[in-house]
Amino acid sequence: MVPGSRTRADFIGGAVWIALGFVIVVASWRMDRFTQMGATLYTIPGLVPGIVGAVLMLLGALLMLRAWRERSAGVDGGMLEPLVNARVLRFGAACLAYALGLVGRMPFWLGTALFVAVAVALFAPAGQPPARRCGLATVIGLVTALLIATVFERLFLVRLP
Amino acid sequence: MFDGLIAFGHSLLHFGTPMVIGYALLSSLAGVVIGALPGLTATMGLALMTTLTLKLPADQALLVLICTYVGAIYGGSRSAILLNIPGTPASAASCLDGYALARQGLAGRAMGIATTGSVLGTLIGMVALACFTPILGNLALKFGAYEFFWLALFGVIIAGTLTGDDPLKGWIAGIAGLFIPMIGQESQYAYERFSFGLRDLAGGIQLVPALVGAFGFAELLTAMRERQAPVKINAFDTVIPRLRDITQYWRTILRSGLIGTGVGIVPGVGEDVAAWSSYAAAKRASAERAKFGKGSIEGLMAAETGDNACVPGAMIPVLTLAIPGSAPAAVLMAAMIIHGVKPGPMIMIESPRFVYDVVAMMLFATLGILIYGMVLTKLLVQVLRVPQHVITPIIFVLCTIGSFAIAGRLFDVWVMLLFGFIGYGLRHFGYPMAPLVLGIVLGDLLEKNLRRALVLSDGDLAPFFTRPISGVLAALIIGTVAWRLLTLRRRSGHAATAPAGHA
Repeated sequence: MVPGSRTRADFIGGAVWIALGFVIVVASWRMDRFTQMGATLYTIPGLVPGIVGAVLMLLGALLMLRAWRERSAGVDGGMLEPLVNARVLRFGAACLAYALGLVGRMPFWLGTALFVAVAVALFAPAGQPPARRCGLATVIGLVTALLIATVFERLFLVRLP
Repeated sequence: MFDGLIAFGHSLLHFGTPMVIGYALLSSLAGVVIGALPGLTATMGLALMTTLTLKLPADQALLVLICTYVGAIYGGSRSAILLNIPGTPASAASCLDGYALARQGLAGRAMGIATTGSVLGTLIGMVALACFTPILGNLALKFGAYEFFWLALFGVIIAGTLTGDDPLKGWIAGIAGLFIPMIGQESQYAYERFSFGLRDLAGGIQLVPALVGAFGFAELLTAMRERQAPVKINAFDTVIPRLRDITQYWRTILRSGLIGTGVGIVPGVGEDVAAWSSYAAAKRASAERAKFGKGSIEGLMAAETGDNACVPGAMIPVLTLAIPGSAPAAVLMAAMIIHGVKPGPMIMIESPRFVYDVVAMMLFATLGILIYGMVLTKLLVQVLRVPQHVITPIIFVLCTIGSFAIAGRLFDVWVMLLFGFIGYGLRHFGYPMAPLVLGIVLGDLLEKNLRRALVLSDGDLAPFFTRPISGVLAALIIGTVAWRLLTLRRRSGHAATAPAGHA
């Protein structure tokens, strides 16, 4: 992703908030009114979410308006770094793989050891020889996994996935 | 007053067992480590520790959490002084003079001042907690649905206004946070809202996984954006606090302690605002104003006293109104509810001793940070050497366990992931996290009280503005929003004319 202008991001962000607020308002409007159970306007389930959605739309519109005015005035809102870079992507993917793919599908300690070892190896300083990097990562992964599993299950009596 | 002292004495005796003292010391240590590590905040630490303490009795669990909270706010000063990186946002003000002192070869002295300020700040806040909680508790009995609705909104609006650079984005984050508790079954008709037919979602979004995601996982993703340079910690002199610093700057300590406590009492405003406010007040009143930012002992003392005094201050509205004074206090309140403690106006009637239990917990936490500040600093700063690529995956594992353990559902791990990615995105685009957290915690209170108030008044909006406390809160909210909107408009208007003037 390439860097973009802060003002442009705010403009798009405002539009997203308006859309989200609109969806909330519509969904709230369509909710059951429970009139057969004697509900009044003030007790219907959609009242408060509807108000929250409307306020979100209003604030989104204000954000868009501000961004539009700044943009049309040529004000430099500053540049915004890309939302994700390679490091965030790699770390996010590793976390997703661990939480969605490993946890609950294999013994907790094994999944954790794999995740920690891979993450440490992936992000270790570039200068390290590959064999040393992998060896160290494996040791850190195993020690961490066994320590966490033991401490949580035995000491704190917490159920692990 | 004597009743209070007796109750406090009972609380001290109750917690004075070796095992409980051990818990207090260990959790203060955990807090200091969490606070010292840049990227790990008190809010995140508390969310994770909530899981660890699930099986403990309520009083011991809360002792652990309060010691972690105090420890984390104090611990942030270590990296602020040694690395010029605030360990938690609360320590940002300490970087200015703390790091300047470290560069002059006085890092040890700076850490001693931070210890003095933090200990005295917590003690001042603790006294205020013991004195004001019963008073505010009695006042809170006069609060009805109208007042609680405004208070919930006040927390979100004030947090949105003060905790970020852009109030508009702060308000958006807060309102979005208010929406989260509206997912799942509502309380009156058990009607499923926004659950899309998903059984797991029908029960609503659990607070802890959402907070662990928004504060924990999102912080890890943000921290991983840049590769951390190897940490170089210079040798430092003695860290033992000096009595002279207290006698010389007692006015600053007292003023900062009171400011910090006051900021803590205001719903939604956190330790960072307390530190900056105390720092600014000290600078205004100081005879050595020119030294501020260049290694002023008074400046560092003010910032550290202010942020730690905010911790007990933030507990006052939690206990009396069930409205958190800061983002970490919001997590602490959630933990209280999980452990069956009901904070709110009835606390002084139903369980008045609990308030003094909290005061006693603060005292244990203060002793913890004093001990670590004097004895273990040299050892503790070594934790700053742990490389980012090792600590980050380990913390993510703790986030996963923390989310799962509350209800034993993998669904909560997915919630944590989702909130982590959303939180990361929001942070990136400049939306502060504190109002979001406040919104998530206060959404249910706001909805129940708005509906109750409207039923009571049969839809008449007048009582929202004519009841005395309600009217004051409404005026404060409307005034704050109007003032910031005016500034917003003026900024846009100014922006529109600026280029023409320069062209």
